[in-house]
Amino acid sequence: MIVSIDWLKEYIDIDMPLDELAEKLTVAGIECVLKEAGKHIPDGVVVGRVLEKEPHPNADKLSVCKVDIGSAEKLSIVCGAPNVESDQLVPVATVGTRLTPDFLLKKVKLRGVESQGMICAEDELGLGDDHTGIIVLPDDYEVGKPYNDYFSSMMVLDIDVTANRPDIMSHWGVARMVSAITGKTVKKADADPQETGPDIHDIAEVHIAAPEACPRYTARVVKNVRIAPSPEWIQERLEAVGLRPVNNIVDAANYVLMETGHPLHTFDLDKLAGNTIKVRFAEENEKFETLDHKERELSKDVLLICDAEKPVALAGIMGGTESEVNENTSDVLIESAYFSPGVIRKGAKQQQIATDASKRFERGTDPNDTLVYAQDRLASLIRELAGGEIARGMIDVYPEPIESKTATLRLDFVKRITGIEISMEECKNTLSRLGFIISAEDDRSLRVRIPTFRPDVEREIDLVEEVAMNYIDRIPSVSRMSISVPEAYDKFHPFITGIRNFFIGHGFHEAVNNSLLNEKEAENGIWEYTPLKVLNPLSREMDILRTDMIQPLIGSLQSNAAKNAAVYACSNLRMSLKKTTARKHMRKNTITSVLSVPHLCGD
Amino acid sequence: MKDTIIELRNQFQEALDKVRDPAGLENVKHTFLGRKGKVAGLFSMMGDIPPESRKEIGKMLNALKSDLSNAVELQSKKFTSAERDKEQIDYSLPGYALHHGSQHPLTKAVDEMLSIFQRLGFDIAYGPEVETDWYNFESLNFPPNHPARDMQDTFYTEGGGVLRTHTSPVQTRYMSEHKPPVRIVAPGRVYRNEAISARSYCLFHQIEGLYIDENITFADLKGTIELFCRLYYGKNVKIKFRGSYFPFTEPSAEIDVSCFLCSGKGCPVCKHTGWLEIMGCGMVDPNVLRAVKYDAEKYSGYAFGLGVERMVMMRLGIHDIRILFENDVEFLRQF
Repeated sequence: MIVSIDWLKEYIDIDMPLDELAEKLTVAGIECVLKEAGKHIPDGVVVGRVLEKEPHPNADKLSVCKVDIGSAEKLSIVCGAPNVESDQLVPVATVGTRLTPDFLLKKVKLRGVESQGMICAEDELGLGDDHTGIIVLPDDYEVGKPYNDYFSSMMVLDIDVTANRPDIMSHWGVARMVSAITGKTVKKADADPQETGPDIHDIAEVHIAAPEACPRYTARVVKNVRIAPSPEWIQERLEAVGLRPVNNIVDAANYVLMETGHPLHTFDLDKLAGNTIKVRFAEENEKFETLDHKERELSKDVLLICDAEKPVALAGIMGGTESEVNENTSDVLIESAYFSPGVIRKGAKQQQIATDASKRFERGTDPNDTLVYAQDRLASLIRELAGGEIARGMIDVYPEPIESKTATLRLDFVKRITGIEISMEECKNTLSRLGFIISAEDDRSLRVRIPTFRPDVEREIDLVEEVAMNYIDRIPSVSRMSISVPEAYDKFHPFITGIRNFFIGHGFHEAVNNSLLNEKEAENGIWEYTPLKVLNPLSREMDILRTDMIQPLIGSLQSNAAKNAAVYACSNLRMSLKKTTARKHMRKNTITSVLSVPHLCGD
Repeated sequence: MKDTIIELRNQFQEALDKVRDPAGLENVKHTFLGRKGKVAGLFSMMGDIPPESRKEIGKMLNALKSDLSNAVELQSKKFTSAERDKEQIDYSLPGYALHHGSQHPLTKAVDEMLSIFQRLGFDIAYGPEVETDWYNFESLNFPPNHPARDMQDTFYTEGGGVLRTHTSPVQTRYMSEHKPPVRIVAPGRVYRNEAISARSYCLFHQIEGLYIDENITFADLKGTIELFCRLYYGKNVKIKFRGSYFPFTEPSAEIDVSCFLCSGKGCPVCKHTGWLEIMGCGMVDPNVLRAVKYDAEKYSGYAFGLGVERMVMMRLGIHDIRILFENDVEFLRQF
C-alpha cells in the first residue's frame, strides 16, 4: 500500500519531519518506508541558455551550440535536434551526469568537434517517449539551476500492511494512525452528492440472491457523463500511489478507493440488461470474461454480480469486459457494496487473482458509514470531473444491518498486559483518535464502541493493543530472575549433544539435509514403513517426507565423494499423525552416521 | 644340594626372561639375591652339608651368586640404555594428522542460543514436524479462511496433516500437557511452500520461546529479550521494539537490533538502515490460553520466535541460504 504525503495532508496536518513520522508509524505497527515517487531528473542536468548556434563543419544535420549554464566558462555542445535555436532555455546534461545506470555522460568528439555535454530530449530524461526534438523550457526558468528543482517530488510512504488491518489500506486509515501519534484531528470533506437527475428507482433495480455473501449492496446512477482523461492532479496522485490513469470515471473510482479504502465498481448502465443488478453465486463451470481479458471457468464458490441475463463482474474481485465503462458510456451505475470476507477470499483463491478490491474485501471493509460515504463521494466526484446529473436517491439493499460491537477496557487489564500504568486520559485520547467511541466510563474502565471499519478489533485485548502500540517505547525492560523450576528438565538435548560430540571427535562433519525427497531416494530407507506423501509439493523431486536420516545423507556423501571426507548427520525427527502407519516409527529419534570410505554404517 | 642349585638357576632364568621393566628386575633381584632371598637361603644350609662336600658346594654357591648378580647387573644396564634411547626422540618430527570433524553452523547456533535461554531459566521442549491443522493454526488463533493463513504457505500431507509452518504449535502442545507456570524454548525445523532461491528454502529452523505465569507483562518480555540480545550480540547492542501482527499474540511486536557489523552506522547487511530484524514476539493471545484451557484472567505471558538461518546468515555474511543445506565438506570443515 502506497500513501502519498501530499494526499495525506488533505486529511491531517503533518508538521513533524517525514522520516520521523515514518519511524513513529513503524514503531506503532504500521511498517513503512519513506520514498520519493514520480519523476526524478538525474543530478547534473541543469537549465542552460543557447547563446549561439553554428552549423557543424562536418555534418549537415548537426549543429554546434555555445551554451551558458551559469558558470564563467561557456560550453560547446554538439546537438542533432532540428528545433534547437539560439536564445532558448534548455535542459543540459553536463559531463559526469549519469543519465541511466549504464550511461555516464563523457566529453566526446562528434565528427571531429568536441561536445562538452548534451542538450536533452524528453526520452533522454525519462520524461516521455518524444525524441523529435529537445525540450524547450519556459522563459522564467533560471540558468544554472538544477532542472530537478522544477519537479515537485512526490514523497510517499510504502506500507507493509499486516493481514489483520483492512483500515490501513487507505489515506483515511493512515491519517487516523497519524492522528493517534500526533494528536491532530482528521479532516474529512463532505461528500455532498447534488441529486439533479430523475429518481434512481425508476432507472435501476438491485436484487441479492445470496444475502449471507453480500449483506449490503448500494447503487447510484450518474446520467449523461462525458468520458475524458481526468485532470492532471488526479492523474499525478494516482500515479504516485502506483495506479495507472484510465479515464475520469475509472480514475474517480480509484481515487475514492485510495481515499476511503472502500472498493467501488462502475458499470455502463446501458450495457446492464434490464438495468438490473443481481448478486448470486456462480454455477459450477460457469464461464466469464474478466477485465484482464481472461476467459475464466468458475466454481460454485465464486460470487457474481449479474444483470438480468448474464454475469457482469466477479463480486469484489474484478469487473467484466462487456459492462466496462468506455469512451461511449453515457450513464454510469456505481456499486458500493459489502461482501463477506471469507467468500471473497475463497473466490480470489480459486481464481488465483488478488486485486486492490479483493485484498480489502477479504480483510473486511466497513459495511456502514464508509460504504455510504464512498458511494456519495464517488457520485459527486464523477459529476465534478465528467459532468452529468446524479439520479435522486440511492438504492440500498441491506436486509440485516451489521451493528457495531462494544467491549470494555479495564485499566487494570491494560497494566496486567503491558506492565505499565496508562492513564484513563491517555487510553481515551488514543482510542478516540483511532475512531473508537467511548460510550461510558467509570473510575477504572471504559465502555468502547468499535467502529465497523475495524473488524479486527472485538475484544478487550484488542483494545489493549490499540492503546499499547502508542506507548510501546514507554514500556520498561524488566528482568525478574525468580525462576520457577520445572519438575523435570529435558534430557534429549544433552543426549543428542553427547552423540554429536562423539561423532565430531571421530572426524565426522555434521550435515543438515532437506527432509523432502523424491520417491527413488525414499526407497533407500532402512526402516520398513510407508513414507508420508506431501500433497502439494514444490516439485516431484520433493514430495516425500524422509523416514530416516540415511536417505538424504547418501546424497551428501555422493556429492562429497571426491573429497574423501566423513560426513554425519544427527537430528531428531518426530511426527504425530493419527491413524497413519508412519506414525509409530516417525516418533523415533533417528541418529545416522555415514562413513564415506570404505563403507556405510547406520545406526 | 647340587640339584637344588641347578633348579634355582633355572628358576632365576625363567623369572628374568619375564622381566619387562626396572621394577620387575628389582623384584627378581630381591627374590633371589636379597638378604633373605633364595640364594642366601642356600648359604644358610651350608651347616648341614657333610664336610667332604663343603668345599665343592661352596664353590658352586659362590659361582651361582656371582652369575646371578652379573645377569641382574647386565639387565639393569639394558634398561638404563633403553631409557636413554627413548630420550633421544626427535620432537621436531611432524605428528600424525588428526581428522577432526565439525558441527554444522545451524546446530551450533541453536546450541548457543539454547544455552543462553537455559541460563535464563527456560527448559527445552520439542514438537512434531507433521502437525494437525488445529495445533498449527486453529489453536493459535488463526481463524479458518482468514488472510492471516496466507502469511505462511503451507505443505499438506496425506492423512490430513500439515508440515508445521512454525514452531509455535509447540506452545499449545506443551501447554496442553503442562500446568502453568511454563517457561520453554522449542527449537525445530519448519516448512514453507515457497520456491527455493538464494533468499528462501522450503524449510528452515526456528526457536520458539514461551513463558506463562501470573503477572507476566510486556515489560518482562522486553527484559528477557534484551538480556538475550546482550548475551548473544554483546553488551553494546541496541534493541528496538515495533508493533506488528501475529494471530497468536496481542500486542505483537517485531524486534530489531542495531547492526552488529556496522554498529548501526549503515552497511549492505542492514541495507543501510543500521537495524536488523531478528524476531517476532508478543503477549500470548487470550484465545490461545483458552484453547489449552488456561485461565486467561489469571495467567498471562509472552511468546517469541526467531529464524535460525537468518541469524546465521547475518553473522557469517552468507548470501545464499542453499549453502546451509548443501553439506559441502569444504564449507562444513570451517566450523
